[in-house]
Amino acid sequence: MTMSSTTTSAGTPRWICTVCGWIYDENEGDPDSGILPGTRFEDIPDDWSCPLCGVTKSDFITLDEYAALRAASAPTVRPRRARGQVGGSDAVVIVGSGVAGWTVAEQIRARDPDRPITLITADDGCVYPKPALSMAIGQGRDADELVEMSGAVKAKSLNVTLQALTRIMAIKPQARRLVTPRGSVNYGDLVLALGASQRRRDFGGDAADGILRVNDLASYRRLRERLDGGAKHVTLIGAGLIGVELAEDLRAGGHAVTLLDLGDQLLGRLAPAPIAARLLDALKAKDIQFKPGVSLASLESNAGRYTVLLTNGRALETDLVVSAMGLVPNIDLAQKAGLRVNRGVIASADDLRTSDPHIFTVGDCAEIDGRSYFYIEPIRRQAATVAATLCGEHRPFERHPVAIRVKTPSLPLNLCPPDLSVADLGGWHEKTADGADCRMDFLVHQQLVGYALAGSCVTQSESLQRAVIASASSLVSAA
Amino acid sequence: MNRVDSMTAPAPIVTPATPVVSPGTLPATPTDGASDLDAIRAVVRDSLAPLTLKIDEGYYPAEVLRALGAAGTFRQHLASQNGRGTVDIQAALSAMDIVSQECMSTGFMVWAQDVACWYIEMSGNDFLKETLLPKLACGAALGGTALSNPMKYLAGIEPLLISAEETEDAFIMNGTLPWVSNLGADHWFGSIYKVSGDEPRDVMAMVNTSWPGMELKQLAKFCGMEGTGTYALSFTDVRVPKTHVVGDPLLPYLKKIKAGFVLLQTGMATGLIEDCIQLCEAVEPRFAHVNCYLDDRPDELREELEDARELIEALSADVFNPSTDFMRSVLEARLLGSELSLRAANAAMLHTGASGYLHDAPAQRKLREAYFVAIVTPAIKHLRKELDVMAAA
Repeated sequence: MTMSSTTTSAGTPRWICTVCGWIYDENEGDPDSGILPGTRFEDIPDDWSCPLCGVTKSDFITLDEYAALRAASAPTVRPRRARGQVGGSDAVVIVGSGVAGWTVAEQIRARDPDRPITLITADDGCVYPKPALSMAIGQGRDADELVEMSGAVKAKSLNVTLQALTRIMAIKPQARRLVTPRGSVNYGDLVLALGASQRRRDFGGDAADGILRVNDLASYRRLRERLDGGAKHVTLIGAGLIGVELAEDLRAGGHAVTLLDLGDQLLGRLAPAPIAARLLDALKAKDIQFKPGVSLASLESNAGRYTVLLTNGRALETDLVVSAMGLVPNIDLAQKAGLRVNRGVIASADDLRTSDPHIFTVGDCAEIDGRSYFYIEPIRRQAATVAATLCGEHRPFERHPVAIRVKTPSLPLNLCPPDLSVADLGGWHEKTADGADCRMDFLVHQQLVGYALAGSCVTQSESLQRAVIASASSLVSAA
Repeated sequence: MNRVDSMTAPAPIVTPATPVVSPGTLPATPTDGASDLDAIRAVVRDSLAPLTLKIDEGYYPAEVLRALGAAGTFRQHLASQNGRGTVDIQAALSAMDIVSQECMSTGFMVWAQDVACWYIEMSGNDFLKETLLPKLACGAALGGTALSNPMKYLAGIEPLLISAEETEDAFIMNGTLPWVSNLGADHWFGSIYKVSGDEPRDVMAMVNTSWPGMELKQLAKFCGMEGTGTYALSFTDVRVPKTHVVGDPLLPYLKKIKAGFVLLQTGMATGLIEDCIQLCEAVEPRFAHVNCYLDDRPDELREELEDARELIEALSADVFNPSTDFMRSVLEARLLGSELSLRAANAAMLHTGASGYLHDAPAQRKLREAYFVAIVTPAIKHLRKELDVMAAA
């Protein structure tokens, strides 16, 4: 026990009771015991006792001595990561629990059983087959029936920490931290699987807020709630992939359907006119109405139903309006964080890294060489590229033309539109045509770079896809 | 048209239509936010700190609030009053943060006073802007907000509790509101009521606690925040002259004030969290060797607090942004303030240990204050409900 006068590093002489931890600060004294502020510890009478526990002066040492003694027993590293293993500077944090997000988690885990992985998602994280959203009404499956696995079960199976129902408010690339309404999360590497949203337009009318969009399980659930209680008339805005699939699915579920599109055919950006015309015949045979060159101008409520005012000045009565005008990548978060974005979050095909070395992107939100891929097959390959990169491998993403299976049971289609870089160098050629069955090839310099198949011809898709991939690589090497 | 005209007519009950202080000469001396903050720190140190324990137990510190008002605490966000001519939510938050570090009860009353001013500043009511606003902004008049029930009403959580009959030049109000804060004799508060009659609608007005038919009842005793002048408010045929209307039509007006209303509360949270972190830091020399086994260490909380402050500052600079995305971010920032407050106060308790569990210890008081941040309107559950509705739109 030393009694020499000591000051702490802050310059304030402070003494601590080694029994209860009460601190005597010479500047404050102990006025309740008659010790005035400014009284040096040495000058306190020996019969003074600790005001908290009653021991005497001899049980006090300086705070500096105390701290030094205790520090000797302190662990050299932080004993436990804070807050239940959410994130961490050694963790891969994945944002988004769609096919892209979960596949990245699976692919990392397959390569590295020990890597800390946290998946943060704004929804509940459950696993469901997204393509099923446009064929479940006809099958009579509700939202719960589509769920293959809860987020918690999936996370446990992959030894992943799941932070569900948590939206990301901001990314801080310099600090490698995410800000969420539950607090901040550190990351070592970040994978953005933010998805895409159905394009929004400002429609007029008092009921414009009632227009639905179907792009995830929660929105499918809302659609099903609105369809409950008997046959309805549904107006679909947009006759693209989702539009035609939903039209047929709604019809299979017993609802009347009117499809609107500003273009003059179905699947305007994906299918050549002869194929689209065959699909239209098949849909018409099922009493699905198609109004080309027309869209919705405004939506007014009308005695429990809606009145749709069309851009051509006409009107129609309907029960439900679903907008399917195409997907727009969710880039807002990345843009605000200063990442390079265009229509999507820009990533290199080599490793799917964004403009920040510790941030990767995959799925609907990603843009690679000017293109986004909204289909399962390329998204799975993107996820493999990211996982490989994060585990020290090199596995570039190959930009193959994408084969699209259109889920229209009245006339199945398989489409592989030409890559935009060659789309104006060639044209469609009818290869075979027999009633509804049809095959068309897109040729550039006699090479097959795209195709469109209808009816029984869809069985040719696998061999044609191989041919397209082969010619794509030869066209690239020729360029 | 009648209503608009009546707003500019002289008040039948309140004191002179001549402003006590002319808006042109306000503020008296300092016009830059930084020197105001220094003056506010001095009031906190000299007048507030000695009373913190008493306030926690039930003392209503009117003199501290008046001194804070004189130092510029309540005028920072008011373009018409702060001498800078700009809406400076960030400066108002900094002031509230400083006060809340010492005593969050007082920080909460700063918010109440701030929003009472905000209601008038954002209205089209020139009469109140010239008469009442300068007094509220400098602390000469005190007041609060009775918007907890209406905010829950608008979020579909409970019905509106005050109703009113409309006359030619007034509304006659009836009903009871539980816990409205920063009240006392001759205090002001913003109130929303349901008007029946030929033109049924919701309207908001500024009301005085000393008007005939008003009664303040102190019915409940709380586990903390007792010195906040919190009463149940009973209205019996209270005549509110149309000169005191601030929102009619109500919805576009509420849209304009809501982001500010919610954002301004975050100053309570950041101040509280700041002091909790300091409580944790203060015991590092004694307990670092064992406190490192705790979650939410002070350095980690400090990073999160700085992230939150940065986010709030960005939102504060954009407070009239009408987009849904912006409002979602505001609600999320408020939610973050609640979640972090709870964690920081929990950390303060666990880090300080027995010394934080003493009767007068700051840590246990911070813990009770943190729960207030989390349950005062909009409470965590209320915010989550609103965010859920937004996500489904």
